[in-house]
Amino acid sequence: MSRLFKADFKSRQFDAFLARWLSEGLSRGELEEWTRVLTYDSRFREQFADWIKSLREPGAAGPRPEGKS
Amino acid sequence: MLEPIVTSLHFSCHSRWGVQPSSARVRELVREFLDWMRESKEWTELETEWKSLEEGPWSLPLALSRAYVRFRETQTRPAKGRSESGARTLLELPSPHHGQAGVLSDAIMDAFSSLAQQLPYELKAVYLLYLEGLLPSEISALAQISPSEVERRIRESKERLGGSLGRTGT
Repeated sequence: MSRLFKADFKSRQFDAFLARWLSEGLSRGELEEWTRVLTYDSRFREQFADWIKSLREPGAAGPRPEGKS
Repeated sequence: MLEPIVTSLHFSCHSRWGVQPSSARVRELVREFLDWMRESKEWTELETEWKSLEEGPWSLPLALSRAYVRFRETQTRPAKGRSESGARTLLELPSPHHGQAGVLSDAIMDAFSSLAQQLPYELKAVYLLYLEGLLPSEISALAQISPSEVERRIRESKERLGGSLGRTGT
């Protein structure tokens, strides 16, 4: 699992992981590790957040978060 | 099928900021995306992946969205050391100081992220994802905690950081 998170978010290695997460969910341990990576790896977090936002319906943007103009 | 997916993928990151791709630009992107998929043999990989996901109703959109992320990487190359996040890129507001707006937006985002690292761990992840522009409902689904708990952690983070900012006099 740790090795997976050393890969670039855009890499194909993550496709299977994301698909499994969406279909089956993650174990408690996997979720904790996933949370840790999102917390401490800013680049990974940015890319992941951009991907999540890209899956929204067009125009479904919510309120601006703190700190953004 | 591709045009609504590309429209959604391209537009949704930009809609918050008022940047809307024209229909001509969307068609152009779809063409470029298809050309790239043929040239890079991404079609074959996508079909394999889709089949491995048992061709579920969400598996093709997921595979396409991942392929599109890789396609977009071939389109843009950020300056060395700069984040390629869509959020940071879109913070590059027009400025009379040429080229400085991007540097400033990166600095602002980095400053808030650094400040958030002072938070207790249970608050940190939620608040950092909130800073990245995710909605509380999205954070709730990702972290598998209730929406009300997400809202509570965001509120508490703001209160704590507001106190920190007050102490530094900023």
